[in-house]
Amino acid sequence: TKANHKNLSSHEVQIARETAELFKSNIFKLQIDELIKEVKLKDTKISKIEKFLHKLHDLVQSIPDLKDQSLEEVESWSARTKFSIPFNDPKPTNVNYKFGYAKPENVSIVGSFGLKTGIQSSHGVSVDVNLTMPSELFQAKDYLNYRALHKRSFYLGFLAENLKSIFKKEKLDFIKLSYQYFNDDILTPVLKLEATNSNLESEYNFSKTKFSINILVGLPFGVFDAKKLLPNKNCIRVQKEEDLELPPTPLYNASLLTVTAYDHYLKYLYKIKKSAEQFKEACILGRLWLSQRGLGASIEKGGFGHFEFATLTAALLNGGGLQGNKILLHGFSSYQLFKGVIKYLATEDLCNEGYLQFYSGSNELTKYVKGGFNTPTVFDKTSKINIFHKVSRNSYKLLVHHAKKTLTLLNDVFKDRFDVLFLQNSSYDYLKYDYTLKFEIPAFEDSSYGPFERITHLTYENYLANKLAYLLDYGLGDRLLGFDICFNRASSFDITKRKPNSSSKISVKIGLLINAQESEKLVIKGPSESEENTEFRSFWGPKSSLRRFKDGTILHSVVWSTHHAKPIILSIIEYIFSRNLKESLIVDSTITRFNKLLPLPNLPSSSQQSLISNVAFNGLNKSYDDLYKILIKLELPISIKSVLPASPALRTTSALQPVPFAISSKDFFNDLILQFETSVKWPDEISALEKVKTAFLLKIQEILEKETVYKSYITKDEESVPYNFDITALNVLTPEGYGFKLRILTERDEILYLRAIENAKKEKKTALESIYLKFNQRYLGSITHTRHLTSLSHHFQFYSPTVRLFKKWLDDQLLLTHFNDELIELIALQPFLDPAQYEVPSSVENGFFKILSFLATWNWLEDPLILDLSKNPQDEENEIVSKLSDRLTLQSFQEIKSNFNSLRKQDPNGLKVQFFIASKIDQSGKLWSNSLSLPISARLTALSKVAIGLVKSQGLNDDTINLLFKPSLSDYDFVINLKTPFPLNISSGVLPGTSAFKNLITSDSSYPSDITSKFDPILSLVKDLNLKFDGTILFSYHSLNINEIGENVITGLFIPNRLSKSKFKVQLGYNFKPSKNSNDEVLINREAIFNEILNYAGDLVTGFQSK
Amino acid sequence: MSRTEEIKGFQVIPVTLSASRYFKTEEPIKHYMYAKKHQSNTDKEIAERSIFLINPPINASLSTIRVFFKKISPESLIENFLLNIENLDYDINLTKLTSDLYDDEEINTGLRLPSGSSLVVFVDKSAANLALSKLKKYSRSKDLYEWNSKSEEPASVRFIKKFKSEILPLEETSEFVSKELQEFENRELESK
Repeated sequence: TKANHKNLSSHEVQIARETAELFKSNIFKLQIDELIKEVKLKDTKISKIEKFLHKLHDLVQSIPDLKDQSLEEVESWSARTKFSIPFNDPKPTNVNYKFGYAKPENVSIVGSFGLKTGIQSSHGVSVDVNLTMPSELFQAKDYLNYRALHKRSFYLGFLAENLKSIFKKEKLDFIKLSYQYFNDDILTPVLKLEATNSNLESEYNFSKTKFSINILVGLPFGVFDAKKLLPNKNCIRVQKEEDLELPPTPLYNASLLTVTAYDHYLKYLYKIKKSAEQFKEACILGRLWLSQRGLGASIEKGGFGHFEFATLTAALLNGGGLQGNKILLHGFSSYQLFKGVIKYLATEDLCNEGYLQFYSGSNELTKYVKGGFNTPTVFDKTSKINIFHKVSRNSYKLLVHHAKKTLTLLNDVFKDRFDVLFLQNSSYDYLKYDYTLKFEIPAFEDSSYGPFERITHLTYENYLANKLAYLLDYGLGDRLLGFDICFNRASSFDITKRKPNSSSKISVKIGLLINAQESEKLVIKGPSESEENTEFRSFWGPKSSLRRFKDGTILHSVVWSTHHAKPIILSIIEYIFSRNLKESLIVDSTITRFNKLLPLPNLPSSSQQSLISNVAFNGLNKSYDDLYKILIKLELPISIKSVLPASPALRTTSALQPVPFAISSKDFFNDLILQFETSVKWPDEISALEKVKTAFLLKIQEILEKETVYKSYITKDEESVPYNFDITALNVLTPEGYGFKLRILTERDEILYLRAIENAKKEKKTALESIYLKFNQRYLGSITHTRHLTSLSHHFQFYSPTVRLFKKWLDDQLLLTHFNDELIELIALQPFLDPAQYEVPSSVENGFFKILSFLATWNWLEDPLILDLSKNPQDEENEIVSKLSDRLTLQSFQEIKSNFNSLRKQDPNGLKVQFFIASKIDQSGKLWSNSLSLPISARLTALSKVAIGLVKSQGLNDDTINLLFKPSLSDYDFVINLKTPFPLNISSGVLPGTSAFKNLITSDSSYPSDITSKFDPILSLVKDLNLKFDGTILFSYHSLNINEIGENVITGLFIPNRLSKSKFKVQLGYNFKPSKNSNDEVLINREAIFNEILNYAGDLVTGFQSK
Repeated sequence: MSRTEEIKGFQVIPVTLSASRYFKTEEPIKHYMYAKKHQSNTDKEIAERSIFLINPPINASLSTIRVFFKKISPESLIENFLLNIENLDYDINLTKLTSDLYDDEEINTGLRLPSGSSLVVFVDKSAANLALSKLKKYSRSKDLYEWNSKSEEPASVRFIKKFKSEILPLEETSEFVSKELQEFENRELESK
């Protein structure tokens, strides 16, 4: 029956899945329809721009011809008119061919505006107008040595000059003209027309439409023999040393062919649009998808834009499989078409293993051909253009990543992913990359950039990108999942200039996606001595040496050392860039600054530990294991069955790493829950039960004291569970210097708390329920939480340092004490468990910003946070039905959602529970957030919004990073500055950051005679204040004790409704005075409150400010 | 300037507070307590010799209250000062809710002071009455009592001591636990 049951359940799951998918795709369709309506270009704007386009068309016709001009004539024309001819480098000298202008063969609107797939965009919409030069201006050989392109440049310059004067004559002088490199291609400048604010009354002024016009200037299709321009052909004949074969010029060839094919592709795509009903909508989806990810047709943006998306879609409508079997069908919906293209990109290798070939000029089938060119290839056999020619290998890798992420999201049957797929801007560096590098290098010093490199790569940036890509690929290998290289390429320039001003330095930005599993590995293994090893040795130079490994092999290898703030990847990059680009090149990255924000444990050589090292936690775990072994063997009336860990430090999430004898740390004592073998003898009454537990703890204390070197003492514990005044805990100090707090859980406890709810009067039930929740938190929830978090933080290497940084941020912002550790840890898990359109964070910086970004956008009134605690929540779908999977099932997902809905029905404004955070271990969603208050939750959201807003507007630099971690004290009603008699940072286990006294720092190696002497007095003070001013003032303070001179603050915020007058009554809270001129009204006695708190805090106070 | 002397049957008792060097004001800062005769049905004996006092200063304790009344009504000897700042709901009793070994009366005995309020218990009824009439007089007087809101002990020491006080003495705890458990057993036996 077991097998039966399994089959049944997997079948059920399948049905549930299918239903969900169907349901989802219907919803999806509605969402898509809505979206497309939303982004469609406005008709009024279209007619406005069309009016101008018609005019432009007429005006172009009036430009006179100018034929058979020699270079000298052309140059003197340019000097006379002050109009520059945007010749590319090297500009023509000593040429005997002629330049000229004649009426264009054809004027047409091409691109997305022509295809009617344009969409609204915040940075405007551009309309591409193609003027095709007449073929009479060309000769068959013009495809060589830039000749055709130079002719085109003159044509463009002449056009610009004439348009300028015609515009003036026609009172269209609101038009601003400039040259623009189309898609970053320096060979094909275009003329950009923008409307300015002047002469707004002109009927032709389209400045309000935010449109701009690119005049492309094309060549007639087929003007040259395309075969000569195949990607593997050389078409730039530089002077060569004898016997040297000239390298192919694929970029040049593709550029030249592309300018001949503007109209051709418009016709091709138009034909497809007519034959596939939803093609247009699919293109719009693709366009949105690309723009939200910062992808586009320019080289900087990856070379895959709307045109490439549309053409690929078109090609796949006519085949795409090995035998030309169709990937997409003409009857597909926009969603199906879009998904099909994404799936194709995600699953078919178009670079190494094969490529796609299609025919834009005939109905021959599109085929996937095995054997790739090691460059991304989608080859049009008709035009001989590789439409992926602007896509570099690394851009392609990123594109495939995006496609894979998107495919998973499209397949998600649990959550509505529409938002992250199409609506969210996902192109911010701090969310997209684990970290970025920035550096500058001289533009003209690279001796390796010779004539051959010039004709292959066309620009130094392209060459450099290629070189950097090689260095990163070879040097970092598996350590990176991908990278993105960007330059600040100038693409726009004045019509009086031949090209943009070239700067002497090139700014480079590299965005990195890190492979967490590999990133901090110490050794790079090369070939063995006997194998070919020249490349390895010359690449690594003196860093490479022969090493013998444990298994006996001897290999050339490179060894790196870890550092707490500097990732190994950064050390490698600095080394290889200095060696291969420029000596002592300075690579700037915010990552070291972020890593340095994490307090270092005061342990030997901790600054040489990798950020993801667990050494400090391992010390504590070892101590736990030892204690466990002792406890489990104790001879007691009932023997101990288990000693379960339930503390942040035992699951590697404590804000500070555990350090021996760090007794001032708030995480010094680690909760352990003790359970005994089953017994029927536990008293059936709560207070007596606690007393029996105390008796056991006393007994354990006695044995430990007598038979071991462990020190221990018993304390009253009145905070764990309110109204249970009899709980005690055994505090154990291990000889290694760690602290544990033992509490006992019996099988009777839960029954009794539940019975209490049952027996309570109706009006007290809620109170009893929250008592039960507190019990559940401390005794049950924290154990399961610790078990899951331990395993997850082991799996996600950067989770532990990220959650520690998040806790530090919360503490710096005076929020940490208001939250359960568990709640914070669950929130911090969100980007790891549900990275959605991004990768799992592989740096502290990235993880931190993703948490803040999530919090800044989380509308917790309407959306629950449902976490799937399985390690690979994004794994392929078939795992869902696998019995081994620990994934959240659809059924429990829906149960959780309905829990949320009913919770919100009772509490629509989130007055009781703000953050609903559920997982399979807590379907209630409120276990850890039940005791939170609305002002605190709202403040967390507000602060996250401010932080993200700051980074969006100011970028990341030293100033913004400092600001992020600085509390805004002016938000509070009053601030008390405090200082403890001696700083507690060292006794909290933190290595001071200031180096001045580093030699004098000795960490404690034993317990003080009075353990309490190093506890934080401010903790005790705030506890008293909270008790006294409950309901009147909200107090906050820093609880991490990392300040090096012992400074701290307590801030106070009056609960708003207490600030107005109220009727006198006995239970009014503290502290109030009679109101003047009113008999029975009172109000808050602020002055007395300030005075009393200051006197009460006595010698701890060093200053005070109030509003 | 008129001063509120009574509010909803409570005598308003202003005192001035010792100044803090971090919060300076031109005039001394006043704190207000509110007092009236205690009334209780559950414990009449204590009630009639007690004054019910709300909003006592933050450091109010048996000793500071004694010093205060020594000035106001030197003849009224104080036996005890009970203060509730625990913010607890008296109607929630986990022991009673989880066991039927107790009857209502047993649970409901004892004082039930609302949170934030206190009881000054005098040695006898006349001491209490005298103190109350003196308080009435005081609330009309111009010379205000200066409440010493500074503690003798440095706060840093005081707060650390609180940590220390949470550590339970082993022997006493052990004795207390066995006594309590013995009582529990007796209860169980009785109920059978």
